[in-house]
Amino acid sequence: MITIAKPIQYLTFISLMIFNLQTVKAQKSYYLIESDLPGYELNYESDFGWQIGLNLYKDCFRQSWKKIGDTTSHSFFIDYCEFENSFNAFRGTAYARFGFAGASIWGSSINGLIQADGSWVFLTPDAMYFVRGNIGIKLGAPLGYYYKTDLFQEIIDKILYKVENNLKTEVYNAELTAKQNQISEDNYNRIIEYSTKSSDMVGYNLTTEWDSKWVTDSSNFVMGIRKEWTHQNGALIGIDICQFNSDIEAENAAQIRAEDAVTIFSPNDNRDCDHYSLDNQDQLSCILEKWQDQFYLNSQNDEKRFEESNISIVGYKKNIAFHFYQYDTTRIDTGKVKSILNKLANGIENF
Amino acid sequence: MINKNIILITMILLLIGSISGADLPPIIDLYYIKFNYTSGTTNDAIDIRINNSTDISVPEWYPSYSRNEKIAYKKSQSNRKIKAKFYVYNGPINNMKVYANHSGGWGNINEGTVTFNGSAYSSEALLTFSGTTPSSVGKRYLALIWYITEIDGEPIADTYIHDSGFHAYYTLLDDPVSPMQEPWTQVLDYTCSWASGQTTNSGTIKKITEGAYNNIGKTYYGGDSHTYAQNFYLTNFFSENYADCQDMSAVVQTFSNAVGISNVKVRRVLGPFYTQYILPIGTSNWLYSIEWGIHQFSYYNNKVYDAVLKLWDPIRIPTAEGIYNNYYYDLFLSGTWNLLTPTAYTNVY
Repeated sequence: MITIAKPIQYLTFISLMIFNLQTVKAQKSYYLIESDLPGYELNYESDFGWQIGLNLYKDCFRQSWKKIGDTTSHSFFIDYCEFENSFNAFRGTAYARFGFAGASIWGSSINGLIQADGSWVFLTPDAMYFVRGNIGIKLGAPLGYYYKTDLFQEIIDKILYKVENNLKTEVYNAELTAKQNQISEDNYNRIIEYSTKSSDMVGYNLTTEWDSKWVTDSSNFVMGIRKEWTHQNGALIGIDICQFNSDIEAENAAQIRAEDAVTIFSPNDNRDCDHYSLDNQDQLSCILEKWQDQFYLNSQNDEKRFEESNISIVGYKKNIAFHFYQYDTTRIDTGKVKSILNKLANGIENF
Repeated sequence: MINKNIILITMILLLIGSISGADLPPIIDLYYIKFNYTSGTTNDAIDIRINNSTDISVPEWYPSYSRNEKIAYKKSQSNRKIKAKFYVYNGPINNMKVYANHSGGWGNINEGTVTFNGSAYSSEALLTFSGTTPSSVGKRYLALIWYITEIDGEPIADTYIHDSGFHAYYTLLDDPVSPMQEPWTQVLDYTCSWASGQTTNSGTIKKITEGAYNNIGKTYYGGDSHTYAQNFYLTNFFSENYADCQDMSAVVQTFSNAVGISNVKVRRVLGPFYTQYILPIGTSNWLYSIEWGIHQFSYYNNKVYDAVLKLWDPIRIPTAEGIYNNYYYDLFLSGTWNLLTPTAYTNVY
């Protein structure tokens, strides 16, 4: 009996080795490992993927984590998706969020902090996408069991730290090049000061800023500046501004950003006013009406929707594109939004 | 392991025999049974596996290795064959005849000849079930009680040698379909329980849909999925407690494929749209006007099977409903409803 069993056990061992060799994917240096998250352990690692366009898919990698000793089937997960360049990463990540029933919004409402080059948060705020360089990340705590703002922020910071230290040379160099043509801090401040010093933004204090990326129709990006101001009541206003070589470039980039930052509409939804010219009050009114319509249409149960606390508007004037967004749990005041945007138009006009 | 008592008795008998020189009756035991002994299902059991990473070993019944694996057959099949090997402790003998009676199964094993040609181990004997596999989906148990009727051409009184089993066996509607062409017992345990007694494709899918909604132990979560492109990550799905509409449509498709139903598809709706009253899987509060970016349901024979929700009026898990009669009207409140063409998951991991 033993003589029979030995070769079978040996063969089983060999086959297990072959199985493992076939299925274990090369680990990337920016993947979190267990020593990065003390107290947590990997539940599993698996090949996975994102849908990044119509019939377009991207092979990615998933880690499922749980607290050491947690015997429930609750977990949180991290997807790592490496793209060829920053352009594809930004657009692919922006699209990937449409592959689910849950709706998502542009921004960083998780903690009132800018999360890398771009981020999108699900309305039930237990999942989010963010992108840094050519790396797209999804972080999720299904059913909210593991969702804690502090834990999410800690994970985001650790991932970003590792990604930052492992950026591809091409990505790093492209950012250096783009930075040379970036709008200056002085010019940025000159444009926004009409808005930020107005009564519309009383109580808001500058908290974070980031070199933003505006992807263009030439499969590239131009660097802008994005800043966020927070109010003690938790409200947040963000203004991202980018200067282009021409008016048409600014308009095209605004259109793309509008597609990528759109709050709840899926990619197949053709809106007639997804971005607007600061010179065209009708278009701004159209956007604000559309924004409000989505609530009025469905207010039978008179339940305040999460989206009502969020607005995101993209526009352009001359060779400047802008992205304004606001979170305010006490409900967005569209009159103030209009006022801030009109002052932004003045800033660009006088810049 | 070989029964220690039999070995002990054998050794005693051999010792007595060597001392006395008397002729002793041979002591024979059943060594193993192969149910799925060749590819295809023309004569034998269906090739199945435990899960994505673990195949089922053949011989499925192999007491020396403490092995008693599950097996699967198509429904209403006759002349199912097995291969069995025997061991004689105090041979030599050249051949014998055996048969088996069944308990809980669908038929006996017809008498057949087993060849030893002087060896301790017999050749694998090809033996045939006398009956027909059950006519409906299910998970059942079969025990076989083995007897010898003849040794080296000399008829003997039917002599009991061994019980085998209980062999747990699944009955499927037909040959399993890709991507579940080699069904997982992890899946068949659910499917053959939910759809137990079903004889038709539509009846089986209905039961799978209802079983999945009621009993798969997941709670709805719209921010993630275990599917990607045409891939369904079923292992991960089983290990976690949440599911979305894509997961549940993949469950209905692949679990149906596992029991032999082909042409089960999934269909996606691009929104966004707001829902009528729904009760998502694993939840207890009816929700109204929920915003969905997409939705996806299973689709078979131009009918909807949706295992991720209950609809309100009348309260039901949607099964065998026309999209516009009345599924759409009871689900869709407002927004965009862009129905895509049916597709299917082609890989399960």
